[in-house]
Amino acid sequence: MTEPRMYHPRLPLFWYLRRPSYVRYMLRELTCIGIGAYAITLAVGLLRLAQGPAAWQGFWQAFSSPAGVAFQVVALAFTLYHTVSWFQLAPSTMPIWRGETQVPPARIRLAHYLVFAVVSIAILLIVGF
Amino acid sequence: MSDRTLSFEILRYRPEQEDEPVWQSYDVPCREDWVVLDGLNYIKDHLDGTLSHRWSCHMAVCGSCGVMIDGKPALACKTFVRDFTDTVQVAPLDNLPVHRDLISDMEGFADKLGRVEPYLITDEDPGDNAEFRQSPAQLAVYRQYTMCINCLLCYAACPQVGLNPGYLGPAALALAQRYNLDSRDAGRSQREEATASEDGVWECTFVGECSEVCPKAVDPAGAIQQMKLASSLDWLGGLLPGGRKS
Amino acid sequence: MARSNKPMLWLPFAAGGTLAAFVLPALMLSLLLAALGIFPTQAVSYERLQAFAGHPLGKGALLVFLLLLVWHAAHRLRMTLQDLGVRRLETRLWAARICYAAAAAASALIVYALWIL
Repeated sequence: MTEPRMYHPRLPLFWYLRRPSYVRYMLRELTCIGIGAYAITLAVGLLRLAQGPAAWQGFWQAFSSPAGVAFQVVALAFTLYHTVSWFQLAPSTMPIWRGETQVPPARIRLAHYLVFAVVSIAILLIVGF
Repeated sequence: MSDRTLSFEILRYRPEQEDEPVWQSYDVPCREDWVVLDGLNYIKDHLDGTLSHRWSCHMAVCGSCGVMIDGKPALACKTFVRDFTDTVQVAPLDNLPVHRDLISDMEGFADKLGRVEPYLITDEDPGDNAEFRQSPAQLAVYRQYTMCINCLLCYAACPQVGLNPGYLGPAALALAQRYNLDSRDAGRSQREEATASEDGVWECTFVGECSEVCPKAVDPAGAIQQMKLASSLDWLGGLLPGGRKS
Repeated sequence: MARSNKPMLWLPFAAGGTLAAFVLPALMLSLLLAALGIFPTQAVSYERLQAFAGHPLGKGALLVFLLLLVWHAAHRLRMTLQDLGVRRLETRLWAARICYAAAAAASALIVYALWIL
C-alpha cells in the first residue's frame, strides 16, 4: 500500500499583497532602505568632514541641492513610518506587569511618544541654536 | 425552514483524482443563525458525502475546524453565514500540507510541539508530597498562553511558516513561552536548544498576523519577541567567563 | 539542534531600530531645515561640526549611532529579501552575505572617517 499523496501549497510570490496588514508589514520592513541609505550618506558626510573644510563644503552643497533635499524628505518619511511602527509593536516585546494586571499597551506607547517628543525637541534646539 | 441560499465554494483535493486542488460550488439552504461549519455539515449530509472536513465541538474549544474563509484563517464554527452576501469561499489552511479537501496535516505541528518541551521542567526531583505554590500575579503573566487550542490559524496566517517549513511556528513557540514564564519552571535554557535554534524564534519577522487571527486572544507574536530578547540576553550571558557554553 | 548565534545580528538590529525610532527623525529634520536655510548656516559650519565630531564623546556617540543604524538596516534588508522572493537556500546565503558585507564596508568607512578626524 502506498501512502496517499499530500498536496504541498506554495506561498505565492506576491503573498504580501493579499491583505492590508501584510502590505503595512512590507512597508515597515522597507523603511530599512531609507534608514540605511541615510546612514551611509551620514558616513560619507563624516568622511568629507574629516578631509577638511573644502571637502565638507562640497558634500554640503550636494546634500542641500534639490536632489539632496528630495532624498532627505523621502528618508524622513521612511523613518517616521519606522518610528510609528516601532512604537506600535514595543508593548508586545516588553510588556509590563503590575501585580495581576498588565499595564495597557496604549500607555506604554504614550510613554514612548513622550520620550520621543522630548528627545526631538532637544535635538532641534541643540542643532538650530 | 431555510432563510436563504448561500453558495459555498470549496477548494477540494482528492489525491486519487487530481494533482492540484479544484474549486467546487454547492448551493446551501442556510438558516440565519448558522455558522459556516453548519453549511459544511449540510453539504456532507445532504449534497455530497465525499466532502472531507474536521470538526468536533462546534463551540471554538476543540480547534479542529480551522480553515481559510474568504482567504482568511478562521474557525468554521465561529464564522456566521449572515456575514456573507451570496458566496463564501472555504479552503484548507494556508502553509500546511493537505491530506484531502479541508483536512490539513497536523503531524508536522505535533512534532514541533514536542520539540519545545511544553511541560514543567524542574532542576531537582521535588519528592512525592511537594507543593507548587503560585500566586495570582505569577499565574497572570502566562495565563493567556494556556488558552491555545492548537487550531493552527496562526500557522496559516504566518508567511514565515510558508517560507520555511522547518520553522517551529507561532503556537509551539507561544506554548514554550507559557512554560518559560511559569514560576514553577526551570527549563528555559533547555528549551532554548530548540526555540533559539535556527528553526526557532529567529525565523520570525514580527508580521504579527498570528496574534490577529487567534480565536482565543493569545498573542504568539508578542511571546516570540520576548523570547528573542530573553534568548539574546542568555546568549550574551553565555559569552561571559563562567557562563554556559552552547 | 543547537542554539543559533543570531543574537549577534538581532541585538544590533533591535538596538539600532530603537535608536533610529527615537533619534533619527529629529536629526533628519534638523539637517533638512539647515539644508533649506531655515536653520542658520553656522549650525552646520565646518568648525562647529568638526568640534563636535572631533571630541572623544562626539566620536564615541557617532560611532555607536552610525554602526547600529547600518547593521539594523542590513539585517532587516536581508530578512525582507527572503520575504520578497529569495527562497533557495543558496541564494539566501548570498543575499545575507551581500547585506552584511555592505554593512561591514559602511562600518569600515565610519571607523576610518572617525579615525582621521
